This record gives sequence, C-alpha cells and structure tokens, in this order.
Amino acid sequence: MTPVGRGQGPDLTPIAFEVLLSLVDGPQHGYGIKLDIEARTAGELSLGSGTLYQAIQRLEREGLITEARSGGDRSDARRGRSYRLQPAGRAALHTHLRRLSRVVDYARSRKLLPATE
Amino acid sequence: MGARGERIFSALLRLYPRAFRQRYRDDLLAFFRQDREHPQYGSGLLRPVRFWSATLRDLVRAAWGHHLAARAVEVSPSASVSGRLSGDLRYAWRGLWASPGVASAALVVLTLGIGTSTAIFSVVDAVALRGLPFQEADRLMSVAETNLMDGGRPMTVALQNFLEWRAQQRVFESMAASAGAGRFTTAGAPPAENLRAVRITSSLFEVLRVAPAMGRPFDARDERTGAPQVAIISDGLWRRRFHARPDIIGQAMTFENGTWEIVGVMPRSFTYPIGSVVVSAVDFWAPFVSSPRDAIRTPGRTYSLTVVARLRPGETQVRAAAEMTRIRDALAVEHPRWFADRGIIVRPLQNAIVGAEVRSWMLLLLGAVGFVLLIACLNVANLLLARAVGRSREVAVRAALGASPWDLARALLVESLLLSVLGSACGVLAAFWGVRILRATLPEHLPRLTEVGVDLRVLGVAALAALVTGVLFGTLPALQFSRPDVAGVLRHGGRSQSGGPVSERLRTILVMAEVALAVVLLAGAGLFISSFVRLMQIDLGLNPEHVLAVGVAPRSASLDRSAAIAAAHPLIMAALERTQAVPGVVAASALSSGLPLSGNSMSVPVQLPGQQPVFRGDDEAFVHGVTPKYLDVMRSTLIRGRWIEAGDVAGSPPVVVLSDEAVRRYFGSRDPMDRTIILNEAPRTVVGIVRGVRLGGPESEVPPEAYIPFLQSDQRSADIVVRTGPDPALVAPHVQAAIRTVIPNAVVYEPQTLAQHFGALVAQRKFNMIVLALFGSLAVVIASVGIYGLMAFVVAQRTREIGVRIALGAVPAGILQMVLGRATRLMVVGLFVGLAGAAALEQLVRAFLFDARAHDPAVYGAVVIVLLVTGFVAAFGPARRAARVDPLEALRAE
Repeated sequence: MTPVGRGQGPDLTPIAFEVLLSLVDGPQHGYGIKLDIEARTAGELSLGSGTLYQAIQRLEREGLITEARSGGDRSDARRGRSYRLQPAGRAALHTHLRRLSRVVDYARSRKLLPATE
Repeated sequence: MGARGERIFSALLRLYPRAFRQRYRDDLLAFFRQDREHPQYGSGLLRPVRFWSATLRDLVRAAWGHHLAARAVEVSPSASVSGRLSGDLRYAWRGLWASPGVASAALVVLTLGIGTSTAIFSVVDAVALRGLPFQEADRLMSVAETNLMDGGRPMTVALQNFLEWRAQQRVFESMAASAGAGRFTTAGAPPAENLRAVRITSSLFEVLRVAPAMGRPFDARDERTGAPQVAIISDGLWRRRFHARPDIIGQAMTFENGTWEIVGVMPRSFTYPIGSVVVSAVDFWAPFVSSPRDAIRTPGRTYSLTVVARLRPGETQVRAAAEMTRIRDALAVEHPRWFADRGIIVRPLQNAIVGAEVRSWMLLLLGAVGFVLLIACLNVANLLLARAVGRSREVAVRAALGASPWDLARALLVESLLLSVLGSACGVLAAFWGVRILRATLPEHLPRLTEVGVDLRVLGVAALAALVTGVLFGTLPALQFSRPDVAGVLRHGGRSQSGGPVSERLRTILVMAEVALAVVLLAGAGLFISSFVRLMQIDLGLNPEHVLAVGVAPRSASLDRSAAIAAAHPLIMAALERTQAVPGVVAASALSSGLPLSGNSMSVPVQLPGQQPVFRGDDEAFVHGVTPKYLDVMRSTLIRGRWIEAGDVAGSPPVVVLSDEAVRRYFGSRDPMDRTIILNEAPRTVVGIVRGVRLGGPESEVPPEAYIPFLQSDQRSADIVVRTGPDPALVAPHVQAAIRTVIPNAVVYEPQTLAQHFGALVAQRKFNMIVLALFGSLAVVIASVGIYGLMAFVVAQRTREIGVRIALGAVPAGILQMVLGRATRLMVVGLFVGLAGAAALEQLVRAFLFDARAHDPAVYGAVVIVLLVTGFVAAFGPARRAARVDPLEALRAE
C-alpha cells in the first residue's frame, strides 16, 4: 500500500510537524510527545491517542521516524514505545522550517507581523 | 473504575483497522492510562465526563480518518461493504443535519422512550430477572415451614426442626440457617453506631460458595457453646468504621454488651440475607451457637431461622420437596403438637426472595414502559415518513441516476438506525439519572433494590432496543420510498402529489395507533390515580399527620418485674410532663404498646365473665396503655362514656375503654357500659367506647381494641407520642432532650412519625401511581406531537387546494372546521380502539388496584376529555394556519 498524494517531497501536516519538533532533542514515548506539544503550544494543541498514533503511523511509514530500542527498559511497558527522528525526518523538518521561515520573513516585510523584538 | 475504564477503551479500539490496532494497541493503552492522570480534565464529578468525552471524540475522529484513508486507497470502483456503509452513514448524517427540526424532535422522543425504558428495565432486571449473585445459584433452595392456618404462607423455621432436617436429609449437599441477631451499640471509639448483626451457621459459606475476602470463614469450633465470640464484618463496615485498614483480622470490636474478635471481612459484593434495603443492610455476621439443650422440644415454639440449602448435582426441586415432606411427616407423627399447623415448602431461593407478587408487579412496569417505547417508535416513524415525503424529489433524482431500490431503502434504514443509536446514547445518559430517581422513589421493602443500576446487561438491552426500534420505525418509510414514481415526482416539480395520498393514509394510521396506545396508558394512569385517591380517603380512625413518637426504656437494676414496672412508671410520667412543656408540642401521651400503623401491636386473649377465653388469634383484642391526652394526640373520637382520666392510676379500680369494633365483637347488641371484661386474665370495668382504628393501615380491617390506663399496664417502656404544631422533625430533638434530662440513663430511641409509617404502607401504590401518571402524560404529549405533525403536514400538502377553496368563497371558519374535523375523526378512531384495548387490559392491572372498580366511567370519561383537549390544542395551530392561507400566495407558489 502506498500513501496516495504525498509523492512530491515531504509535505508535513501540522500535527506531523509538531511530532517531529518534539523528537529533535532525543527519543520520546507517545505520551511524552503529547505533553511536549502541549507545553510548546501553551495547551492550544492537545492530542488524543488516536490522532497522535495516526500521525506516528504515517511518519513511520514514510521513514521520517522510527521506533527507538531502549534496551528492555521497564518503563516502556508502562509508558509505551519510544520514537526517534530519522535523518529523513530531520531533513523534512528543515525543509518545512525553511518554508515557514520564508513565510514569516514575507509577513514581516509586509508588516503582517511585528519585526523581531 | 480504573480497570473497567481500560477494558472499555480496549474494547473500543476495535473501531480502528486491524493493522493499526495490532501495531499500536499497547501504546494506545499506555497513553490512555497516563492521560487519565492529566490535570487538564479538571476535578470533581465532571472529571470522568471530560476525560471520556475527549477520549471518545478523539477515538471516533481518528477511526473515521483511518476509514476515509482506506477508501481513498481502494482503487476498485465497486465499493466494499464497509465503504458502502460509511457512504450511507455520511449520507444519513448529512440528511439529518439538513433537517434539524425533524432530527431533534425524533431525538427527543427517542431519548424519552429509550431513557424511560432503560431506567425501568434496570429496576425490573435487578429485582426480578437477574440471577442471584452466587455460583450455580439455580441449585440454591429455600426451605421453610408453612403456616397451615394461614393458607400455607411460608414462615421462618424452628431451630429444633432445622437440626432434624439437616441430620436426616439426603437431597442437599449442605444446609445452612441464619437468624437476625438484633442490633449492637458500639462502645469505645466514637461515633457510637448501632450495628446490625446476623447469626449464621458455618455451613452457609459452603452452601452459597462464598469466602471472606480477608481472614477465614467460620468453622464448627466457632459454633460450640462457650467458644470465643468471633465475627466476620461486611466490606462496608470495614471501610466505614475501620478505614479499610489491612491489619483488621484479629482486632476487637467492642460493644456495650461484649467484645467480638474480627476473623474475616466479606467481599464488597456479598450480602446475606438478600432482600429489601433494610434486610440486606448487615454490618457483621456471627456464628450460630447452639447447645444440645436447644434441640429439646419444649412446650413453647420459637420460629426465627431462615434456611437455605444447595441441591446435590442431579437432584431437583420436586425430589427435594418430596424428601423434605417425608421428613416432616415422620416428625409430625412423633411431635403432633409441633406440626398440627405447620407444613414445609422447598422453593428456589430466588423465588423466596422475590415473590410472585413482586415479579408480576415488575412485569406490569415493564409492560407499561413497553407501551411508551412503542408510541415513541410510531412517532419517529411518522416524523421520518414526513421527511421522506419532503425529500421525494431527491429520492427520485437518485433513482433516476441509477440507485437501486435496495440502495434507496438502505439509505433510509441507515438513517433511522443512526437516529436510534443517537437516541439510545442520549436515552442511556437519561437513564443514569432516571435510575437514581427511581431508587429514591421505590418503596424500601422492594427486594434487591440496592442492586439496581445501569450496568453492561442494561446497556446491552438498550443497544438491542435501539436496533429493534431503528428497524421498526425505519422500515415503513424505507418500503414506501424504495420505489418512487420517478417521472411523476420530477414532472410535478418539488411538491410531490404522487407520494401524498398513500403516505398520508399511512401517517394517519400511525397517528391513530399512537392515540390508541396513549389512551391505554392514560386509562391505566387514571385507574391507578383514582385507586390511590380512594386509598387516601379511607378513614383510619386517627390522623397520622404531625404525630411524633419517641420510645423510652428506663433501665432498671431490679430483676423483679413488678418492682421494675413500679420504678419505671413514675419516670415515664415525669418525662411525659416535661415533654408537654416543649415548645411546639400540642398534646402528649404515653403509649405502652406498639405504634398504630407500625406493624407492632400487642394483642391479648379476651374473656367475658362466665365464658371460656378466646384464644383464636383473630379474635384477640389489641391493648393500648395510654394517658388522658392520647385522644387529642391521635385525633380519635370518643363515642360514649368517659375516656382514661388522670385519676386512673395503679391502685384505682381497673377500667377499660373499648373500641366500637370490640363492643360489636364481644358484646353484640348488649350494652357494654359498666360491664366487666377480662383482658389477659385481668377483669376490668368498661367505662367508655371510642371509634376503632385501622391499626394496620388503610387496607387493613378495624380490629377490636381496648384502651387501659398506662399506669395500670404492665409495661416497663413506652412511646411518648406527641401531636406537634410545626413539622415533627423540628420538635423531635427537643422531645428527646426533654426525656433525657428527666431520665438520664434511659435508652431513648430514634424518633419516628406516624406519617412515615403511613408513607411506607402506601409506598408501592404511590409509586405505581406516579410511574403510570408519568407514562400516561408522556404518551399523551408524544401523541399530540404526532397529531400536530400530521395536521401540519396535511395543511402544507394542501395549501394549494385550500387556496382554491378560499378563492372560490370558503370562509376561514369553514376551513378551520375542516382541519379540526379531520383531527377529530383521527382522535375518535384512536379513542375507540384505545378504550377497547384499555377495557380488555384492565383485568391485568386489577390486582394492583385498591378497591378496583370495573370499567370506572369516571376514569374513562376523564381519559376522553384529556385526550380530546390536548388533541385539539395540538391541531389548532395547523388549522389556524390553514384558515389564514392567502389564496394568491398559495396559487402563485405552484
């Protein structure tokens, strides 16, 4: 089964983007990702299990993240598996961030956003 | 909650595609567990609600996302079954969303219908349908003696007989007995509590196949005379009084009259005996200690045991009954005096707990709620039919574009199923709330009331109800519109004339059926209300409102009974005098025998000089020792002679005031005044006659009564009965305090009111009346919504015709009359069918009615009036709209 509609380069959904961001500093388990996203977005984005693992499934399939083997850590059983960023994921994140940065620069130049504080 | 919540969540994961579920199941569960601790869900009662609504929302959204993605992936144009279903679902959802009026009306009706049925079912299920909470409970039998003088009514068992039965029988694996052990007041650590104990033979654990959650069961050593006092406590007592401490085994429980060692704690789910709230509220169990002496057959007989036994595998109730009867008959030869009036009965424990009477009562409730559900279904079918008519153009277009009849029918069916599932979800929520109300309203004597609740079984039945109702009310519209007259509909533009007549006839029939069912329920409500009103009108011979009673028992050091009486009487009289002075007390009296209406009365044999004493139970007189103000407290009436006076004291001539019933029974037509009557072997002179009282409540006969001066009675304790000005509950603490100041070391009992006792006596009838009245009004409201809907539909369909009529000179009053006339025809047919049905069904409920009157014309008349009035109100809106049709507008619209 090949994912349809995502052939031309990494196109991140907002949730996938946030998940990747959460893994930049190292592997995290599912609920850790949720808490991290909540902290970063000041609670604006609060993911449920279904939504989160749907995103994780897609990111895994696309090879952007992978399961992190933590050597039989017992906390895994309680907290669920951990995931870590793959090189392709890091690349996709950078592409996306560059795109966002261009958008922000443009917004600043048109005074849609205040200049850097 | 924790583990159950996880199980539910785990089951819900089936909504996800299998591959996803298999890969992430553990992760999702781990997430679920951690998320439950998340502070964002707030605190308090709403926390689980917030948590679950967020969790379920996410689950449904994600699962839906998976299915959409899966559909997008499928290349094959022939949609899979699940794909087609989700297509239908989406279509149905959009359809409902597009007509919010119909959808929400249907939803409200379904919520009411399914909510009430679920709530009632949960009661009926817990009380009458569900098996007992024991292993292989169908092998548990109740073995009881029967009172042959009282139509073979089952009663408790004498210890001597139980011991013989147990020794001789071969049909039961084991046999156990239990008996109430009374109440124990805790000493030591406050708060002082009054604990209820039951004595059980150690075999009970074996018979029921239960074991303590902690500690050990009783064994034979505990049952020996002189064995240390041990107790097994209930889970509730362990948590309440001992704060669930884990080292409870071996601790001592101290009471005013002794200390018990705790050897076990029963599981939370365990209760025995099983019965009403009061019967099942046991705090601890103690071993049944009997000595060899107890097996001796003394002249007196005491019946106090409840016996339960487990059949051997392969044995049957019939064989067990035969064997036990054989044992009883053999004993009867040996001890004729013991068995002249006693038989034996073996029946399933479940039947012994929930009698046939309660069971048929439960079925009555279930039947009545079934009617409500049926009306709700008819109504929703009606609403959907109306909407389908409105969409006939759309349906025709779909048919023209190639949709098969099956496609069209399925779409409508899915829509009604979706509606019924939504309705059941809301209904179940409503049922949670309804069950709480029902539990508070149901009479306390109802067995297994504590087990009533919405559980998986009830939810399963609700789901089934949803499915059945969905199919029931979805089939008609689906059949109707699976073969649309495509050409006709499309030719006629949006407003269909072709679907009209058939569906209008169908809808008329549906509404007639609704009306008929509503009439049946309304008639039922009427019968129960009128029966209850008659019950309330029964003259008790006293007025129970604002009567308070506080029991007082002065302690006595003297072992001599007459000395104890001589000491107690002045104390009680002093307490009475003090009570008189309490603000709010209108009148106060002492009463030496049980309160009227409470079921505790004392009767004594009666004898006239020169005659043999009357020993037949039903001819004994009830004796009350009272003081002068008693008549004022009870508001009873003196018919002749004088009442008990302050001068009637211990040494003065013994006197008695008889009730009119006692005079009729013992003196016939002779004048009893100044004659002698012998009560319990003590001669007394009759000085007055009072009106008799229905001691057992409004449904009991008036028994013969005799009032004697309290100071001439031989009772050491009494109730202080008080008529209060304000609410008795406000006066009660002051009365208790007044008694305690006068007799500091007396046992002062919890205050009771006569109104409470009266309430308990009529509770079941009152409950039936309320439920039936509720169902009746619900049915009438739903039916009138149906009438309104149909009339509005008819008027909308015929706007053009009405416009033409008005254009041709019809007056508004005529149009109004035409529409109302139609509604009347509808109601009259419904009324006829409904009244006939009600008259036929009346027999089924007659057993539940007090002083039932066959086909009471007042009730049936009221039903007709209520129905016609609500029906007219419902039809008036559409009728007025019809009368105001502007002919120009109506004709231009085409």
